[in-house]
Amino acid sequence: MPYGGRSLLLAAVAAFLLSGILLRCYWLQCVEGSNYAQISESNAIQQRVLRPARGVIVDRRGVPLAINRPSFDVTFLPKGVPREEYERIAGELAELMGTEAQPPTRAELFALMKEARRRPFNSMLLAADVSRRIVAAISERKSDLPGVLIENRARRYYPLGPATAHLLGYIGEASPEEIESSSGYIRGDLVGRAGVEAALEPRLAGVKGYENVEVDALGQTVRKLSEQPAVAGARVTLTVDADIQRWAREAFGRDSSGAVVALEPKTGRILALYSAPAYDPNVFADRKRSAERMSLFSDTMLPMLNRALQSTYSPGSTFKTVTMLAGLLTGKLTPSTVFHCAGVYAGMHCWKEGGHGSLDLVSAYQHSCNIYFYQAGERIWIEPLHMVAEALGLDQFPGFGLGPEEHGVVPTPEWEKAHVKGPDADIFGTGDVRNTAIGQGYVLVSPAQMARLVSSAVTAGVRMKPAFVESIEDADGSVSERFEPHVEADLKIPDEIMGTLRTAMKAVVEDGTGYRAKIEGLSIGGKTGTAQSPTGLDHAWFICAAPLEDPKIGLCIMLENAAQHGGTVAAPIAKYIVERYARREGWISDTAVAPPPRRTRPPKPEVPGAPVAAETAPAAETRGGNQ
Amino acid sequence: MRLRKPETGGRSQAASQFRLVLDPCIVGPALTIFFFSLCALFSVVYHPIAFEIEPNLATDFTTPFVKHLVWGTMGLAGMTWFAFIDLEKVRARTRWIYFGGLVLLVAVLLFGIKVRNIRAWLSIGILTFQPSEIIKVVLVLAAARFLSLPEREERPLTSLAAVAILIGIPSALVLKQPDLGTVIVYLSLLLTLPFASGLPAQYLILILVSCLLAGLRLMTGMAVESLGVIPDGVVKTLVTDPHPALMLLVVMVVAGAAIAAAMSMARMRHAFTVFLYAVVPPASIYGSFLLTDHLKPYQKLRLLTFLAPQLDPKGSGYNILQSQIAFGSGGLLGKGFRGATQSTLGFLPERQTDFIFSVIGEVFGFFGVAIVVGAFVLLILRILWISAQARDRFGSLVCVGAATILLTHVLVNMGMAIGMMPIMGIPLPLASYGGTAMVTVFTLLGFVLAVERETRLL
Repeated sequence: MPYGGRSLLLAAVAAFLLSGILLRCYWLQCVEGSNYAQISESNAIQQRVLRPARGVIVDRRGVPLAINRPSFDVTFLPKGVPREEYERIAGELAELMGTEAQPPTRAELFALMKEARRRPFNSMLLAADVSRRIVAAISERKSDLPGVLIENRARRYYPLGPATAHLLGYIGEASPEEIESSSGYIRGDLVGRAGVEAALEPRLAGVKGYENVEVDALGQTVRKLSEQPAVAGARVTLTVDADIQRWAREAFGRDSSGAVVALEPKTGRILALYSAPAYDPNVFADRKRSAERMSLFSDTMLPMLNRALQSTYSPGSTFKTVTMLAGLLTGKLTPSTVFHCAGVYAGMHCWKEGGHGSLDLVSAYQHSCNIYFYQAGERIWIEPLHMVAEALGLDQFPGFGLGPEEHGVVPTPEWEKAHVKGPDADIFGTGDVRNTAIGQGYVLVSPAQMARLVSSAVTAGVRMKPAFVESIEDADGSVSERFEPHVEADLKIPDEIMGTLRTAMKAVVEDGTGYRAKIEGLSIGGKTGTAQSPTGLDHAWFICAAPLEDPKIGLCIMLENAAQHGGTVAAPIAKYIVERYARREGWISDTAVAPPPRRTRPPKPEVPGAPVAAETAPAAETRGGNQ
Repeated sequence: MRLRKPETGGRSQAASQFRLVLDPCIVGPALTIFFFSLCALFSVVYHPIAFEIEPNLATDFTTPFVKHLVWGTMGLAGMTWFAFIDLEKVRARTRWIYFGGLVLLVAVLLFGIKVRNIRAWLSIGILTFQPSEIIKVVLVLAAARFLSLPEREERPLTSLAAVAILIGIPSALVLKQPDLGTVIVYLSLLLTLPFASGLPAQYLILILVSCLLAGLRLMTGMAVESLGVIPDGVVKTLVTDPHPALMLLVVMVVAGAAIAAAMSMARMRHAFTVFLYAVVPPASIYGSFLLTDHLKPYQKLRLLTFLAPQLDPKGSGYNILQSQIAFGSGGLLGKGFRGATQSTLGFLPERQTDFIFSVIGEVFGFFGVAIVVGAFVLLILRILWISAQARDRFGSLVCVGAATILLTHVLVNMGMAIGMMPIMGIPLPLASYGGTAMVTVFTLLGFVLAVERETRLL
């Protein structure tokens, strides 16, 4: 060959390169070999996480609110199952599970089983949370279905479902960000996402345990080397009453939105917190219901919004409680102060056409006369109103500790200067005071704040710190936290003023706008409110407390955009809840239980602000709908 | 130059027996490598734990081990058959073989089966094969035939360009699959065959320098961009920004053309060579920027994890580290069939195909590795020796092509297993599980044996 020398040159290059490879092999195996041998040994020790059981949540009487329900998963352990059998097993399983809600197909099962072969000693999930019928059927045919196992796994379950949705929140799998942020979460951990589940996450989650096991290369345990057991989450007893939650849901019906908040006035215990529309928190505990989850977040009714804490509204006439107390406390009003209502005042109308005539304080409160309170407001002016409102829990975060809250507004000249733009900004005028005095204008409150307001008012101005934890019992049985009442503020309302307040609140229910909340044999007092809203559909309010002389429940009912009067729609709900509670507690004799109030919701007007047909009361007019 | 057909008539009995003997320096190493791969595959497939998983394993005749044995035997039979083929007939039909190969590659793109995102397999009846493997033989034959034409020697540069096109067309088709690793094997022929057929050394040096520069730019550019090992500055701009490279290319084209023109007017020799030296290296650097834009994300990731496998030991760097752990933990004498848990069981992926060398390393240790590497050295040197001895240029170049294909596979595959190369799906010849590759390599060896026989008998 003419270029035979070049072939030999190539041979030299090849020999050179291959000897480089051999040198590297020598280095890896003979010099570094013992290091790699050590690494390959440590490949065989595996740390396994032992997940603790999440803490159980019960109500004040021990009724379970969030529990860990046993559930059954169908899994497949490939070890020892001949490959030819897979198709038959997949077919039989698909047939057996055909009755499930979302039956897996034969092809899906077969694919999962083939996938499982990659780690033949670890079981692969085929179907989660199957019915007991399937469990029985599979157990029966055990010998026909080699490798198919039923595994028991705890799932979070909320027995009351939507009734406790916003109170308890829900759980979801830890997000990649949470896992990254070194907070101790690992993939597959369940984390509280809202409400009590989120607020008490560290206590409910418990402490993970670990076991170090020696495994062979396929993950099969050879022996256990060490174990640090998991510590189960704490058992949490809430101050909440499950019955009230349930009654609130019953009374609210399906198509209205709003909120119910009940407090124990003298201690600050949260008795109930319900927001409508509610969602079923159980959909978050089930991977299969992702479509339902997605629809919750896109629903225009905003079921995920906790209206008790995260929404603010004009309080309407319920705010007259503040105005009355401010007047009495400053001496600007006495029970005998009389103003005249001619139906129109300074261009603004009272809700009652033709007016109420001359009224004293109690009757003005009882019949919710706007014009009386316009004039009262003018006399009191803004600072006392704001001071009393703040002392009773408005214009501040309610501090429930159950997630995000709204601050709300009770306006002052400084506030208006800071927040209102336009020609009106610098002048806090008579009109602003008048509107504030009847709970319109700039005033914004959340249902939780109104529940605090009525509770503080009926306890002579003692504002308690709200709390939802009655006690927390650790896994070892020791109680690590117990409820203790804390006074946040005390307005020290004198007895004679309290007498007037009680008389007025009782009169509202006895023979006033809130007569639908009257309960035979129970001393209950309240105040209605019909607040104008930007949509033109009024919000209906009712706040009340019972028994008035020794208050055990302070309640706020709010129906968002109800387009009806507080006395018409909110008071019956309060009556239903308080009456049932009173019967259960033995304040009144336990006779026949009235059914939940049935309401017919008026059709929504096409154009916002158009006249609304009310059920009984006359139609609301501009600045006049404050019943 | 025409070869005489091997004739049996008119020769002595001894000579005719001698003619039937195949070169032991080719067959011996080939069988050794195959034997070691069989043992490694045996330990993977028939580890005691595997019987626990699959109780019917012993009677299962579709395991990779059994198939490997069958493919190997068929390959050996094929090799023997090709060893007795008339090379002149093959040479005469090379054109048809080449076009047939192209048809197969087009068919793959149209009707191929996708496995792990690469459309490389063609299924005809019960037979599923990889045309891109067979093309390796086809390209060796085609390039060897073209370069062995007598007039080619006179015009080395146009020959180089023509061979580049000959190899470029199937490369483009295979890149469509997309299978970069196989294309690199094809392109390696471009480094050796023209050189072996008389391309002046300065051109080979030019190619090597250009490849080196482009590769260096590619690696540092990716390292800087993704790992941020160099702070902002001139160096970073040079390796990450294509504009300086483009400017350099333009300047060099103008300057090179001017110098070359001046040289040729002064009647100096090598004017064109000077021009090429001025233009090709900057062009290849700029080309590496274009390649970066066309690399798939997973390909970039592989290059990156090659540069820094410890960055993500459980992610994309997993394969490299696990392979090194498996290989290194074999030590001097290996762990034996039962002890080699790293590679034979769960940890090492692709252990039957691309990472079979790691299995050999773990099972047999450096002792077995040295034998296997030694066998490859012997095999490749012997093929090149046969090439040097061959009296026929076609046969000689076929041997160089076969050696090139083997060497590239060995370097890339072993380099990958021991962490010297980025991960590329290139099998280890005669060892990795896979029918088409096995038959391809045995066919190449068959041609080498045919060359050897004819050289010996003439």
